[in-house]
This record gives sequence, C-alpha cells and structure tokens, in this order.
Amino acid sequence: MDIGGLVSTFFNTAGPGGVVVLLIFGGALTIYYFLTRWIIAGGRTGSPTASEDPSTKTDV
Amino acid sequence: MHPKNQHEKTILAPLHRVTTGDYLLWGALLALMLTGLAAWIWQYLQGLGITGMNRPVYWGVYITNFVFFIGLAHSGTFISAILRIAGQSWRAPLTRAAEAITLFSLPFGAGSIIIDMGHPERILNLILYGRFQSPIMWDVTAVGLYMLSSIVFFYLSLLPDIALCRDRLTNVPRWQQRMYKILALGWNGSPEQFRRLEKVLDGMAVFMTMLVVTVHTVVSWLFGMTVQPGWHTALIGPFFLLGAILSGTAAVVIALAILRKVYRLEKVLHTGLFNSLRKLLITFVLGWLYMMIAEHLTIGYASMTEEMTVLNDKFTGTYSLIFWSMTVLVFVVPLLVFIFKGKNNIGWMVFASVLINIGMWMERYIVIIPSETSPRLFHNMGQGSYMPHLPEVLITLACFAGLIFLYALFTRFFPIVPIWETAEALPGHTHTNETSPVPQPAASD
Amino acid sequence: MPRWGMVIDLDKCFACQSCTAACRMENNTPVAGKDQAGMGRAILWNEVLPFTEGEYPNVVETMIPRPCMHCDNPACIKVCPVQATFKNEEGTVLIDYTRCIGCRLCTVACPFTVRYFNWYPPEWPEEMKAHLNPEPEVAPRPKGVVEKCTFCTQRLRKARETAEAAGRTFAATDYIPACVQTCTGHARYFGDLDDPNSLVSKLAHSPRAYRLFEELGTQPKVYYLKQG
Repeated sequence: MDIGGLVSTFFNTAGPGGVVVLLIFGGALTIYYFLTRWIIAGGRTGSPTASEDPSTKTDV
Repeated sequence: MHPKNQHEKTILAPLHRVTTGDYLLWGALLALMLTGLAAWIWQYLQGLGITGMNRPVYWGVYITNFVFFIGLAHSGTFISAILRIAGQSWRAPLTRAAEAITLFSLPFGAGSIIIDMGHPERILNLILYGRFQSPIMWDVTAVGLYMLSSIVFFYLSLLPDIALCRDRLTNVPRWQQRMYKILALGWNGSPEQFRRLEKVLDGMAVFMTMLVVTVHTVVSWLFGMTVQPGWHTALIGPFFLLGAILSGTAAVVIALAILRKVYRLEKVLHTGLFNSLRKLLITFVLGWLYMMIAEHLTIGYASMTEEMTVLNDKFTGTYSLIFWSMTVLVFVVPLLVFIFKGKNNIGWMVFASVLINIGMWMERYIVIIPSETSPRLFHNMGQGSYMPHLPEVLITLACFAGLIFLYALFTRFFPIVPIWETAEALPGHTHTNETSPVPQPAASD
Repeated sequence: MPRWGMVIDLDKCFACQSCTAACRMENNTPVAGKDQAGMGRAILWNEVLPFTEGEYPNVVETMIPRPCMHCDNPACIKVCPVQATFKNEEGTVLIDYTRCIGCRLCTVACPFTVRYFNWYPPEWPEEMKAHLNPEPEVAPRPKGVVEKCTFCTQRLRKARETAEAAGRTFAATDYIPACVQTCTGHARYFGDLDDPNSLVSKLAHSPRAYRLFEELGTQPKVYYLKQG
C-alpha cells in the first residue's frame, strides 16, 4: 500500500479533488439537516423542566 | 413560549410596514445592480478585454473585490462565533446585524471570482476535474463550506424570532405571514428546543471559528503559494486574516449606526456596544500595523532585488500615493479618532470605520497589483500598468449595491436585533445572565 | 521517453526576431493590433527581450529570446484547479483549451511570465487569414483561455507520422520547432536532454550554460549559453 503514491496521485490528477469537495459539501448539508431536525424535535418531546416555569406554558 | 424581552416592540417596529423611502432605496440599488449585470453580460459576450487587465496584470479589480468581500464576511463570524466562545455576552444585540453582513457579502465575494473567469460556464469543471493541489480548490472548499455554514448558523439563530414574527405580526400582508409560518418550521419555543438550539449554536460557533481562520488564510494562499515577490511570504495568511477581521468589525460599526438611526433602536443598540467595538478596533488597527511593519521591514532590510522593486514601487514609485493614503486611512486617522474622539461618540466611530473600509479596499489592491506590474522577467525593461475600466467600476458598484440591497431588504422583514438572545430570560434556562443580559445604556444615552 | 529541451546561444543570436515571427505563423497566434499591444495584450509565444545592464556609455545589452521554459517542476501546473495545463510524458507543458476555465492563476504563478490570455476572440488581417496553419493542435483558441509556447507539439506528431509512413524509426533530430528551424544565426538548438549524445545535452552541460531564475527551483528546460 504505497501511501505516498496514493497521496501524490490524489493531488495531481484531475477528478478526485472534485469528489472530495462534493463529499464535504454533501456531508455538511446532511449534518446540518439532521441537526435542524433534532432541534425542532425538541418541541415534541415531553420536557421535564417545562412544568417548573409557568410562563412558558402557552397553547400554540 | 416566546422569551420576554422589554424591547420587543421597539425591535419589531420596523417590520410592520415597508415605506416609500424603502422602495426608492431598493429601486436605486436594483438599478445599480442591473447596470453591473449588464456590464458582466457584455463582458461575457465580448471577452475580458473590455476590462483594464492585461499582461502582466492578469488580476485586477475583480480579485480585489473577491478578497475584500470575503474579508467583510469575517465580521459576522467574529462577533457571533468567536465572541460567543469567549463568553462576551455584550455582543448579543449585535450578532444578527453582524452575521447579516457575512451572509450578504459572501455571495459577492464568491461571485467576483465567477465574474473574473474567462469561461464561467465551465465552472463545473472544478467538480468534474478538480485538482486538490491547486489553491483554487482549497478556496472553493473553504469558501463554499463557509457560505453554507453561515446560512445555516444564521437561519438557526433566526428561528425563534421567525416564530415570534409569525405570532406577533398579525397586520402584515398574507404572503409575509405565510413566509414566517413556513420558515418557522414548527418552532414552539419549548425549553428543550431552546436547549438544543443553544447546544448546536455553541458547537457551530467553534466550527465557524475554525472556518474563519481557514477561509481567509486559504484566500491569501492564492497569492502566497506562488513565488512572486510581494506575494510569497509566510506572513500573508495572518496578514489577510487580521485585515479581514479589521474591515469586518469596522463594517459592523457602520451597519449598526445606520440601523440605530433609521429604525430608532437607540435603546437596544446603545453606546456601550460601540465602546466595546471601539476597544476591539483599536486592538485590530494596532495588530494590522504590526503586520505591516513586520512584512515591510523584513523585506526592506534584506533588500533582495525583486522584492525591492515591488517594495520601492509601493513606497516611492507608481503606487506610493495609494500606499501612503491607505496607511493614513487605515491606521493614522482611525487610531487617533478612536483614542481621542471615539468614546461615547458614534458619529466619530462611523467616520473612522468608513475610512478603514475604504483604506482596506485599497490595501487589497496594493497587495495584488504592484507584484503583478513588476514581474521578475521585466527586470529593468520597465513595468506593466493597470487602469480599471468602466465594466470593472460598474460591477464593483453593483456588488456594493447588492450587499446593501439584500441587507436593507432583510431588515424590513426580520428583526435585525435577536429578540430571543437579548431576552431577560430564556425558558428553562439555568444561566440567564451569561447569554442574555439586559442591555445597559451608557451614561450619555 | 525523450525529454525535450532547448539551448539558445546568446553569442550567435543577433535579435532579428525571425523566431518570433515564425512562431506566430506556425501556431496561429492572433494579431492584437497596435492599441491592444500597447495595453500589454499582445500574444507572443516566443519573445526577444532586451536585458540592459549599466548606464550609458557603459551599457551591456543582452537580447534574450524567450519561449516557454517547459519546466520540469512547473509553477503553472501546480496551481491549475482543473488540470487544463499539464506536463506530458516527454516533459512538454501543454494546455487543454477545452478545459481551461480562464481563472489565470497559472499566468500569475509563472515566474517567467510566458503564459498569455485571450482577452478577445482571435483576429487576423484578411491577408493572414488565408495562411493560417491548418494543423488541429494550433486551431485558433477562443476568447477566455490561456495559451503559450508548446515546443510546436504539432511538429512532433507530424515528424512521427512522417517517419512511420516512410517505414523508418523516428529520430529525435526529425522534430524541430519553428523557431529553431527559422533561426537566422543558427543560435537555437533543440533535442532530447536525456540523450547524452545529443547536441542539446552536450551544450546544456557547457560551462557557458545557464538558465533563467534557476534559484527558484522550477527546473526550466531552456538553457542559454552566456554571451561573451
């Protein structure tokens, strides 16, 4: 497994760079999407502290 | 479910209606933007020859704009991410106004590169044939990731306030109410949602800080990775980074002062904030001076031939007027103004900040052009020269108009001061004072 | 594989600039015209440059014909984001005009300033249009792409094809770029630097031999024989 050769080929050929860019963007988008969903989902779970603070109790 | 904020009415006031003045402003800005677009289309059809660029000055105003607008973008991330991590709670009222500069200047930074390309329609080649040895690919990755992350960070920070608009703004047009409903994503302000949001924002703040450092360093490496005199210096990364934070923070001062006046936000964007920014700006101006001295003294002392050609060009030659004006505009006047006149005086702060931004645009120009006009090959054969032509001027104006337009448009539909972040307390929040202080007006307010 | 290089004897060159003219006819470089040339937009794959040292009356003038250096460690191909410019197996640095996006990072990275950009679509006076070189490698380039000296790569292909058609093996001496062929003073030499018996190889090792900006480490393959 010639690591040095692999690295050199990655940097020198056309194509792999584009794949890396897509992977990074795609990865970031996926992570952000799931983070956003997780945040919003916090409104559906029964929150233990909500009962302590009466000012937050409102009907939406 | 919406955190209580004594200034809520003041902050929401601008959103209730769009004025005639707004339409006039937007119309004028759109006209400028369209002129720039027309210039670009003409350039695309005719060729880049309609600009002033030539051999050896292959890069001119467009690349200057690229560096400048990406630099401006660092304002938001610095204030919202870096200061957040540093626990500087006074920054809360500013975060959205600063991040909006980031959000709306990045497209024009990245756009400036596309405008500069000989074959913009081949831009997909960067993905199809991307080669990571090239600093341009580093740029595409870093700036692209930064833009994506800024949008997400901005949107998430905006989420509770969109829900607030959805619930409070009942007299706005129906399309606007629908927009809030859709964009609010079912936010209901439960403590758990706020807790999760804060966690994500904390995490993203760390990531964005790393991105900020990476982005402008990578932008500088477009120049630094060549062997050209004036460009090939290890200092170029930190140099650009500090310049970006300086121009960005100055831009925040300008934006805040305008918002304060136009939207009557004196109570919320109080003088104390400007005083804090003043201290930061003094630090950054002195830091920038340090970089300039380190760079030029190192070059001048060792006096290598090709480096001296470029250095002398800046100090006493063709570019000396721009160089020394820049020094006065970025360092001399602003430092004096900040130290002697800036405290509790927003007018002087804005004046100095405007000078800084004009000077920093010139600084980017000075980094780029003189190294190009004195290539090694030309030696004693004379210099190249560069004079921006009309298309470059129009497109530059269009970029600034675009930034202002998007910003002004945004402030009419969304609160520019984060209501939830400046609230007295967040639902179920344990450490209220640290993240959401009640703004304390300064003595002169 | 041969490694093509060039040697230019500055004692024999008297700066007639036939090489520049021949190169332009061979490679279909567009005519910029007086105004555009005045702006610095002329495209000259080969240029003869004056290097002046000293003050009048003690002046030493060196005229240096400058093609592309075809470096072995080129600064230009390092920075190309799409590999539109590349070095082939024989050491020649070429450009794929269909892939170039016109970012011009290569043009600013080259320490020898040998790369040119098409600021406008190419144009020629009527009389010249009839005499464009029909070879496909030198088909006129569109606006928005970079171009430069290719060591007349089309001549290499033609030399190989001619040798094959005649049923003999291709010899390195069959391949001559236009500038070398035209040189009035017989100052330019071209050949395989890796062949120890070739003329260029021997001249490249001459005590008079030097390269431009050698200290930069790009390893240019155009050698100059010192004047005087």
